[in-house]
Amino acid sequence: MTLPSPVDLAIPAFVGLVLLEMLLVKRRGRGAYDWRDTGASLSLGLGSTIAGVLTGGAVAAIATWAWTHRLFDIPWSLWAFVLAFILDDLAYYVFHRSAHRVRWFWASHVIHHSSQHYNLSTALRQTWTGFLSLSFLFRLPLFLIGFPPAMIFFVAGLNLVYQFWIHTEQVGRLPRWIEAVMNTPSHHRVHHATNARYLDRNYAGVFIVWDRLFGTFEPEQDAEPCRYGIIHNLPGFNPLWAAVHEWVGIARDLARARSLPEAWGYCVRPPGWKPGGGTETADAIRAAWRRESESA
Amino acid sequence: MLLLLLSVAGVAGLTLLAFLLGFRAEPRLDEARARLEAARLPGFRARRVALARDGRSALVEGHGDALALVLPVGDRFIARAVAHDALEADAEGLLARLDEPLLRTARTSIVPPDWLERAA
Repeated sequence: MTLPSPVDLAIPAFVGLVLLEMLLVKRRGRGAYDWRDTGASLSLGLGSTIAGVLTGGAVAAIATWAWTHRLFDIPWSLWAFVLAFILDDLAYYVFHRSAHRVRWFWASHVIHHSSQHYNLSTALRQTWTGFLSLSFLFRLPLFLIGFPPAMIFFVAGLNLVYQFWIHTEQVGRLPRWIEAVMNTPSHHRVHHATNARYLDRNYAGVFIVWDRLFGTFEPEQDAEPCRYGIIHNLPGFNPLWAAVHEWVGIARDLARARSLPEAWGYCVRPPGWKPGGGTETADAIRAAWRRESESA
Repeated sequence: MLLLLLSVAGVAGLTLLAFLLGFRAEPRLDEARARLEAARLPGFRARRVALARDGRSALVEGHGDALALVLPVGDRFIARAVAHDALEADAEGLLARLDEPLLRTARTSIVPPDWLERAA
């Protein structure tokens, strides 16, 4: 069965909503844009699309290979689509959590967090090197269960389209039942923040229930505005550097590693890890913040 | 190819629109903002601040001789830890050697404060 690409169909809406948000920022004075940042985000989005075209064939081939070894024959039915959507969102949660906790995966994902702004153009700032970091592995179990690759690619596209609109400061908090179940602008602002309280929290794609279930949920606090970006924010707006800077960092660390375990640590330990632990991992930063908060 | 050209034109168009809408602020630092920016460096707690003459950068002293340089990037700022011996003073202000691929040096209009000489 051939299904349309939800992301391709949504592109006109993406452009229209970015325009609308720019006008709202201008009128309300809430949120922010910077033309250089917007240019970088959109260029990174375009580069990501090109990278996707170049590697899409290989990903589809791997998915099809996995599906030929499936455990069940899942039919093309409505319940299968609903189940695929939910399980794909769970797979996204696992991928996304790993993308923040394992430097190899982070090297690809950091691109999405590399803006100090949080607006709809930030949503389009997507990875160029997802294939290199093997991010497609996280969906392999779905094919092995028996979900047809086209079905999974379709629901994954819907997932990505959903995540677009939550990258905004124009929407405050939504009704409680929505905030309880769904990923919302408020929850995702926390995810993009570098405040110690918010670091490495709210990994959800569509359903925030995964974070609530697995203990990674953190609500947005009015008293603590989000400060967006990464621990060492980029010194400019060069899209190429945004796409590869963490890979360059890994290569530099590997070149000075003194042993194999150290080299392994630089690749698979959390971002900011150094031999002996280091003070720049999310856990270390949060622990230092907790100590300071308790002693204050 | 046509799709690619249209996409590039779209990116350029939206970026231009952002520029024309006035999203090109270059904010100035005050002491509180400089402290806040420096505090984004893990473990850094600001003590004293020297603002640049143009207000676009600052040198912040932390505990235990730690120094942070706050620099402008568009309408935002970045902070970098900097060693005492990576700073050089000349008639224009402080020049910092940062040795990053895209930020080898940073030229600022910070007048070297007295506490910097004492700390060095």
